[in-house]
Amino acid sequence: VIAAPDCELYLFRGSPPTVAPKLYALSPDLVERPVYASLLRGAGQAEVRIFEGRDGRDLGTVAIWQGADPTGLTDELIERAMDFTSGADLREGVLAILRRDRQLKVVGPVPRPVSPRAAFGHPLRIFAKAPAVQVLVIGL
Amino acid sequence: MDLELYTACGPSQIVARRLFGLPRDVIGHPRYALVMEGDGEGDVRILQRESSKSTTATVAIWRGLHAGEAMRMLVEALEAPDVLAALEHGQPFQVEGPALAPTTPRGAFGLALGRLHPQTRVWAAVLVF
Repeated sequence: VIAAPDCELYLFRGSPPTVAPKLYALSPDLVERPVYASLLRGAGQAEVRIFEGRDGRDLGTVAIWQGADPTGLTDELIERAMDFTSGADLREGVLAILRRDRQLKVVGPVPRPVSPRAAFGHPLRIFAKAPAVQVLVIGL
Repeated sequence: MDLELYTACGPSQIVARRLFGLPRDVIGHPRYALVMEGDGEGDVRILQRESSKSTTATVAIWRGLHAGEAMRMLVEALEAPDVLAALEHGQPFQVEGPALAPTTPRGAFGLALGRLHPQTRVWAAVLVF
């Protein structure tokens, strides 16, 4: 077993058909982490989605927010995710940025997605008609 | 503009393993950059080839001694219409090569990450643009 980094973050920009295969090619390790989150942006809209594992490895809750594309959130997340903190400090710091000023709707418990395609495919389809999207995913 | 960013943060040995496991498509691009920071030092390496079929590449290298400088360069590059110009802006890069282009992620990123102690905490970002 190879130890996971404290944090991993991926970002893709392009048309939805261009971004999808790159997103789905990410390591399944990403969606096995205790917490992972995504920020999708396109056509002036955005979606935040946070998966938090619970009750062992197979279940978790999903918190979702959709609204107008927030400015500056991408940079803020990257800088916080790479600020050399770790563990709960890092996790809570990143989640606080994602939750700030947003009412997230919590769904679950739901089964843990088994792959990046299962985790991010549905959110990406919401933006299928956007000419260009940005997908940021963070594993914590 | 299409763009890909792959980042990890933690002990350098673990971060290196994660980058070595990136899809080979990443280094198949004619242009990509490794931006990293650890031990208070920043390091930016921009690899360029004429095309994805070229077997040789040049590498432009910048090293900085101020914490946060590499992150600033990365974030500015992500927001810029010209990523290369933003990465290079005002920085003294040293160009090496042409030399044989790396054929694996380990070949592309191993040298920069390998010079650090395995437990040194780093963040590293691979930017394809």
